[in-house]
Amino acid sequence: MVKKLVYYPEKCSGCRICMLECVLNHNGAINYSRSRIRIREDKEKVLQVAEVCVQCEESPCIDACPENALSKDGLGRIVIDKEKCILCGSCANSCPYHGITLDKEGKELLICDLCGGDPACAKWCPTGAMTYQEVTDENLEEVKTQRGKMVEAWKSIYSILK
Amino acid sequence: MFLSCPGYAGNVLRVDLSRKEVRSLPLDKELIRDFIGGRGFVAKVLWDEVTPDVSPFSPDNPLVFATGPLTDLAPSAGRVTVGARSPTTEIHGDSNFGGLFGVELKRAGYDMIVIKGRSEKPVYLKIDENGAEIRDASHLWGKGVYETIKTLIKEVGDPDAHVACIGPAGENMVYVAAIQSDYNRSASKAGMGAVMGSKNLKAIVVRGTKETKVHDVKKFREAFEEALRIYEREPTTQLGRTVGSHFLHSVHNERGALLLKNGRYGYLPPEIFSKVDEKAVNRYHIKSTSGCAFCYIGCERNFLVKSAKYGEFMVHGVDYYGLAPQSYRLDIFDLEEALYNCRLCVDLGLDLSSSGQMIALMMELYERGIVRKEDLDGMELKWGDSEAVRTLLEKMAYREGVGKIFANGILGIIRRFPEAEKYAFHVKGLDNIPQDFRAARTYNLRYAISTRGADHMRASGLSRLGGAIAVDDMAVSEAIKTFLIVENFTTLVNLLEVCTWAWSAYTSSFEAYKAKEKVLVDLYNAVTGRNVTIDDLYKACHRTLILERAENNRYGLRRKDDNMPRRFLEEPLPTKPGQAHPPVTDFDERLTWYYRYRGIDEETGVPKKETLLELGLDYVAEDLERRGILGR
Repeated sequence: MVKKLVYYPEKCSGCRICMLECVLNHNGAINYSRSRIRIREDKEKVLQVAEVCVQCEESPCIDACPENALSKDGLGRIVIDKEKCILCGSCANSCPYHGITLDKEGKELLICDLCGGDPACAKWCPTGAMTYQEVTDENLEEVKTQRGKMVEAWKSIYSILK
Repeated sequence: MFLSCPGYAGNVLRVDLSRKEVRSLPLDKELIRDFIGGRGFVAKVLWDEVTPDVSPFSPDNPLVFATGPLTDLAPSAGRVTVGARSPTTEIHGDSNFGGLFGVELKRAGYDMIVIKGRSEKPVYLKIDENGAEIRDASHLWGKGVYETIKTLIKEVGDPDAHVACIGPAGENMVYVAAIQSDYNRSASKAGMGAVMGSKNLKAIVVRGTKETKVHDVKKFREAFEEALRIYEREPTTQLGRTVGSHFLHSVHNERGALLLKNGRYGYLPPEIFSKVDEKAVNRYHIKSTSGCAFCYIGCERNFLVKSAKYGEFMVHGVDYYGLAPQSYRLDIFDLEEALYNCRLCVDLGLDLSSSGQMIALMMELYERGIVRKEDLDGMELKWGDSEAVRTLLEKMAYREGVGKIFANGILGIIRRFPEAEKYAFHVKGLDNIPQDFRAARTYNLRYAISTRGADHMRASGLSRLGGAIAVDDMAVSEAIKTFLIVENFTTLVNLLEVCTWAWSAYTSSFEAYKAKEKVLVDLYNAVTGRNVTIDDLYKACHRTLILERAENNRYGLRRKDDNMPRRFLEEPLPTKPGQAHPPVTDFDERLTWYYRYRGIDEETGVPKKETLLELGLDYVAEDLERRGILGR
């Protein structure tokens, strides 16, 4: 049984309670630049997207790392070996979901660790946009459709800068 | 006395546009102690810096944006109070907006922005954690709200930046001009957009990534999650998600309080009402829910209209209070027409509510022959004519022809057509009347006593505390006591800069209200490390209300100005067939009880000396005594 984060952009209200819960769980401080999930928004199109690791099957981040610092553990989350990591950002650039980011100081890579198996973002999401659910062969296609929506929403949101 | 205070960013950004100077000053600790935040901060700045000789469009009139101690730190805590002496009413002015501007401002390191002076050329203000910068805005001047926001986001290159700006209406200092934030949020009341325009300030863009300090993270988290659990239990949460504030169309139609044909009827029969009610509105709504920072509800309504006549268009953040004045209030029962006009208002930077209300008044005046075609640049103004409405909105925003009269607010109309006073709905020159007074006499005392003019947001939530109408059956002294509970709580919500909708207005029961009260105190203490009680906080609320009142007294306002529009006091309101709400005959008694409880001179409406001293407002007592107007 594998559980993963599955995000439904069409249900997201952009409230960012997920970000607050994330920083409370990981940092014990209200410091959103260290959140492992980020909500981006286009207020005109009323489009929201979460930038977060969704434990995808392909894991391009692992392959992108020149130092072999990334691996996947039993929970399906990406683990970064800090000894090996040179903070080059290749993994972040490879992720279609923008799930990996460097902190503000450029000293640490931030990625979802599923809060050890009970992700706070999904637990407190008021609208059911962020879920932590079993992903099986039966629903894999549906899950991938949702991930596709994330990629599309992200592109659309960032197109406002062009 | 505490030396530093978590929760607050700790800095005030002072901007002088005449000298092109920006300065960061530490937030005054006494300000925190006495006024808590947000609306309280605004009241203090206006008292200190606006004497009666400072006119609304004077460079010395400060334009203040204030967040609160829970901004960034509580469910639905994305609110900002904007304040200045109002051009609309020439008295205390403030207006409140939500979204994400406030949280970004705090993360940039500021609790408050105070803007004075007047720039020679159009400018905008860019704020981030490295400070603030005054930038050229010549390329934005004349542009609508939509294009302005889009251009600015591109210019700063960050989709997480948030904008507060004015449209052409603000630039032309139209008295009902709004400050619009992120397309869907606006500080519309009291002409704050006009004050911004008078300073040649087109916009403020803000982005911050600093940590918001919290005294006790564990306790904060407990309180925050408790608040979310309260919202989970509230039936109004689901209502807010499904229809936003638009459920009020039905609530007020049922009560017969719709103000149709400018307040001559209160009820629409089902066959007509169904064209404009929440079900009809929801057909255009594009997303399940959307809202402010950390909101558990998400009441925001955004609409996509695919119209045969106008093509495809979107309009953002239109709530019940924005849509009703642009639809049935004007006898317009075609929602596509109404929403198209709403989009125009947002883009021009006009208050949806005030502009609709003023046009309703003019339609009645036209019907009665008081206003003629030649007064309207040759146009007709019949009930339900949405194209005429559109023409007027544009003329209003650009001060063209008859628009010059509208542009000076409801008082401008009355000055030009004195007979209009008989039909106009306003208190102290502000025309915000979302529902009829006659349907709920105690509750709607709030319009009369509001320090910024007619206002449903100064005391919001009585409907759920035993019922707005049931309270009218109590003895007046008891009814007003209940009213004060609601006024206190709403004011607290304003000081903390959390949302009135979520925290106060739609609280479903007395128990829920008490739970919310407790959790707000817990949040405040956990965040700041102070140890206050609910009574301490209510004292700060009382202090704020009294200070705003004293400011108005200094401008010359007295008991007679805490009034009701004539129509409510003299005419019945027909509702369902064979029924009517009688005129309000016991208004004076209600007002007297209010004064009594609040420590205000019953003759004059000016605070008493003992009240001011008890609240630590000695400096106010001295000032009013020197002017010879201190209450007894």
